[in-house]
Amino acid sequence: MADDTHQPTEEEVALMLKRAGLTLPPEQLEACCAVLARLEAAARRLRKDLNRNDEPASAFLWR
Amino acid sequence: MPDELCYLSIAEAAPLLKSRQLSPVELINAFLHRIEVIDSRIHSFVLVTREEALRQAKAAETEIAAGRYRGPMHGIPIGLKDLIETAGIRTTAHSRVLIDHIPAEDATVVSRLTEAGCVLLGKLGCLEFAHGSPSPDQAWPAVRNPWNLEHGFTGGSSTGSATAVAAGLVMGALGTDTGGSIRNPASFCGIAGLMPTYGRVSRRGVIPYSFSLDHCGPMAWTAEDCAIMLHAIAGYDPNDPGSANLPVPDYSAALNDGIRGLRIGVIRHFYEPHLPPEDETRRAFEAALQELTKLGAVLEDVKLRELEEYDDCKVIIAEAEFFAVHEKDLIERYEDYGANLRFRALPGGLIRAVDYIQAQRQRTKLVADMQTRFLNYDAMVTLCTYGPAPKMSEDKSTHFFQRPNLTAVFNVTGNPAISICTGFDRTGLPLAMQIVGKPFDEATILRIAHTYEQATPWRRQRPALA
Repeated sequence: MADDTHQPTEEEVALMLKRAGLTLPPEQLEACCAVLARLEAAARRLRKDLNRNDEPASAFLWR
Repeated sequence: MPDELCYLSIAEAAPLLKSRQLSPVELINAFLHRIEVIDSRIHSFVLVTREEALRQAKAAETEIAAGRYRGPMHGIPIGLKDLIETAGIRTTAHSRVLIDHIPAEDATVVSRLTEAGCVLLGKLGCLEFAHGSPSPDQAWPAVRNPWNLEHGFTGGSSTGSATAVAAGLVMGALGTDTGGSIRNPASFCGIAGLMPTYGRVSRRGVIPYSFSLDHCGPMAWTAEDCAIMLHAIAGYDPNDPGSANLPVPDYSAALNDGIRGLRIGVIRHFYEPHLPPEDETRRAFEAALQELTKLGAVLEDVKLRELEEYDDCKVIIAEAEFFAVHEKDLIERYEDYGANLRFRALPGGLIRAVDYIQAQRQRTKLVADMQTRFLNYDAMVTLCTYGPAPKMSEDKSTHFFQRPNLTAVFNVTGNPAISICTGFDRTGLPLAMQIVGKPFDEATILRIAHTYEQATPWRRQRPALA
């Protein structure tokens, strides 16, 4: 997992996009980096107080 | 007279239609005329189904005359967010990607409204695939807020649904809500918008944004009208894997029972002190709380998890699921999406599987925690938005990922929530609050909303569009 201050570089993001089958023009690559930093921060924060046996929610929430 | 017909609520029009004091054909003609005169200024419709509407109105008239009145939605003019599939009628999701898409079948909610005798006036604009934001490269002009045509943004994403109801172009509309897309535009346009409990209303035939966060629900001028509409569309659907097999109550039955003794939790810590709302919004909310107290409810502050925890969960789940839905088209038809949607959608393809799973694991905790907090309350209230509708020019795609909104919390937990008008700011733009209920207890939040609306003057004020 990345550290708390990690800001993805354009090179890193371009590689990730390539693996996802996407190619972006440079101006959109910059925007994508900014949003990805926000998503990565959210993903890091999500990890608190999870136990080994905590199961995921699903679309079948109430059944 | 025709304009007065267009400002009737569903609850007011239904007995007139039933008793044949009002003809469905007369009613529909009044609405079609008003759409023709006004919609070129607010762009709420992407398609007006004039011929089909007149055919349905005539059929309703014949049935009612023959004594076959179906109920309070019979002959009522409605519109559908263009994310909801209609058999033989183009359904675009407001995107060039689906510009020629004509579904073979109706969504379940459409079948149910047809069964209830509604008249479909057309398909309503929205943000692209419920996730974009207005951009000049789209096939239709941006929907305008009827309270300020010059610069009022309508929020997202059920924009056309909210504006058409506020402008008196439909009596009710359906919207969809993945992070606030019914409640935010309802708030900015001064109408009532209900996101039902996850599983209460079928999603079959509603083009998905995020399978596990999507809700479909009614938008109307009053909470009472939302209750009538919800009754028509709610209920188990075996074709929706998330549908709940539970009985549907009569949501109108207890609307007039008052709220004396109801315990209502007030959520302020979502925005205080770190994310202060605009002053008039906060003051209108505090005045609404005083009104609820005066009406007999017992209010006290309640503290839930931090807003950011819900927002983190929502953004990871929603963006990953959105990308999964659109992966093929985003790769193969990238240029067919609007620029703002591309900006929002692409990072979803970079979320790791493990991050998505952790978000869903955290979500289980948030759902359980919310149910525990509700043990002491019949409902909770909080702000719906931080302020009134912003200027269209102030809407930036980047905002979507910056300040957490106040509505997505309840998409994460699946609770029902309704946005209702709490007054107007000094420029005449509507303000709103959100009332949240226990799972499948839409009846209580509709009762609170209706009682508040009856006690306050806000439902008597419409946008000046003459």
